[in-house]
Amino acid sequence: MPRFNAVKWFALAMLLLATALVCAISTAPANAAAAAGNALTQKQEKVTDSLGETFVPRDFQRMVTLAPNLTETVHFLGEFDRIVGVTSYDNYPPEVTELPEVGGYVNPSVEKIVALKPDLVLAFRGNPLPVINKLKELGITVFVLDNPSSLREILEQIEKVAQLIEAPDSARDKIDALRKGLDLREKAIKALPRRPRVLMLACCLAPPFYAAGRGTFIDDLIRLAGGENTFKGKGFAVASAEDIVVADPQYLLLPAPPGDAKYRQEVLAKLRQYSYLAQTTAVKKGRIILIDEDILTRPGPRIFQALEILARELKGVGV
Amino acid sequence: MTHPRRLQTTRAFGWAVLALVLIILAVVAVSLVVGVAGFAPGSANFRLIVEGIRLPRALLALLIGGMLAVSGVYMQTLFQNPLAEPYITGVSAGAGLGAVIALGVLPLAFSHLNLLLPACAFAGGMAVTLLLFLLLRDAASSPLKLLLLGIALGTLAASLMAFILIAFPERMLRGALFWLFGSLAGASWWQVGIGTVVLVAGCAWGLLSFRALDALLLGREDAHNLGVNVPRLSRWLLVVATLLASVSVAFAGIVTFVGLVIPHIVRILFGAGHLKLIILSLLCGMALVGIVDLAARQLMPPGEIPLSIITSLIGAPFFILLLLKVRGGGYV
Repeated sequence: MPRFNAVKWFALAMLLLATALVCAISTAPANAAAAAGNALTQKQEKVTDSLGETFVPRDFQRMVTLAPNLTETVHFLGEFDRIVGVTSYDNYPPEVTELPEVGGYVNPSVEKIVALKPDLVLAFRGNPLPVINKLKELGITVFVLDNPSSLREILEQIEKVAQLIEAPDSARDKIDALRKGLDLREKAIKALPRRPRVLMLACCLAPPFYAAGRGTFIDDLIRLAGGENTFKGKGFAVASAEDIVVADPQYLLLPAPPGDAKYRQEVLAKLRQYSYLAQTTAVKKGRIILIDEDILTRPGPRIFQALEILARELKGVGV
Repeated sequence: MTHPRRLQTTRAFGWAVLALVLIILAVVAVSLVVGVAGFAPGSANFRLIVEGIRLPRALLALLIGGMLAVSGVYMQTLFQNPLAEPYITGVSAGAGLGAVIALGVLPLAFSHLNLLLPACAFAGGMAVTLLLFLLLRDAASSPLKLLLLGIALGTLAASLMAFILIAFPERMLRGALFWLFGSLAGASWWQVGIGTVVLVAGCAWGLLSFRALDALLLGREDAHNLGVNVPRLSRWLLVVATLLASVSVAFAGIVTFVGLVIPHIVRILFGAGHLKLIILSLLCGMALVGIVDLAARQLMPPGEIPLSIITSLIGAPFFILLLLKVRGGGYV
């Protein structure tokens, strides 16, 4: 009866496993989510995140930020010392390297985040939804921000975070200053007779060349700096050789590693290898605008620095 | 391929089962103890970390491994083809497509409905399996044809998935990498519950019909002559295999190669009889994914490595070896 024996062995093994499983399940924490603060008070004005959930502003003291721009936002608001954990991509402000890392923003460790005992996790729509859901299930407050598509939206997000974490009035003043700056720019660019044509390439060492198109905050950045984005594709998409030749950008805007003096020459040499890029006005005249990649590509408060740099570079163009 | 005869005895089977169970228990034990948060009994959130994060994750890893391996067994029997497997036959991609549709196309409020994801993943996986089955039914199912059809359907599903990711970047962006490469970062108790039910049901069905499944190995005609209702059995195989694969994709994303590698290791060592094959594949799959997830958590802390990167590192060389050894497309 070999088959019966096999079944017996299996039954024995399964019994062992099942016992282990039952033990495990019976000790599981009673629905942690239910225990999570649902005590919404009516007095305060609630803040809504990008998933449509509402939050009551509070003086959060242990924040984990799941993207560098979110860390920079909290730092901008003057509340950096309330952050207890960041991603491994974080590098600003410099003190950030002393904070514990929770992994990349695509692959953060739930366990590491929980171990930091945060009272607020600031996430964005690029973080994996299962991780966000898991954190919520464990009773952690997770505020999910959107991917902003304009500088005004970036400003709104900063404002939202300021409201959520009850940032001091000095932070509100800084936000107001940024908003006034934006309003002034909007007015100033209306008066521009002609706008220099700018193409932003997200990476520039080899094709395919990804360019910032409509609906990206970079597109808005170029517009506000007084330029005209030559790439009309949607989102960050591949700019074809034909596109580039036809649009003939007068300026190329590129993210650059900070503190690399030789980078400009290297980039120009690379770009000249491709005839369709070499014959653009930008490359022929060597008009490559390099901005620190962390400032240019992160939808946080430092994007307004990028705006100043770009506006300065584009001013007085021989249009 | 010849089988090492001395491993085909009941005694060897018994020892193997026992050894695997011990390995599984050891993996769970280690999973509970190690982690980026360390092991500090008595600390404030110790219970939360061990019982809320590590335990459900370790158990879900076992369940995913078991589901994929057993699903692989059923698919190989259904298609009478050693190369069939949820990933190769495109079922995983179909399920992933279903999940991405649920995430990307449905209104945002629905993304909180945890059950909707597995349901959509199941629908996607089922659609691909049905297509495969319809396309193969008339033809003498040659391994090459299955492989090519599977690749074609899998690629089709994958490209649709990529299209949705591009069309809804604001919703998906990089968060969707989860589905494409597999991760247990979101493991939670309700998933363990559903996974247990599905896996137990899936295995129980196979163990109860192991004689019919063995008969099917002789070919559809011979099985029919032995009194097996072949169309009915095939339909059940399809449903159960897809259910197992789809639920695993819904909970952990696409985890490659487990479904292919595990049944083959078992078949080579212990023979193709379904009773042992199902039991040992189940346990091997559990042990493998348990270990793989441990590695995913521990190799690059505090970041995590997607599961498929690790399973493919193990699976791809094995697959190559297999391709070189299978002659004339015969069943191993």
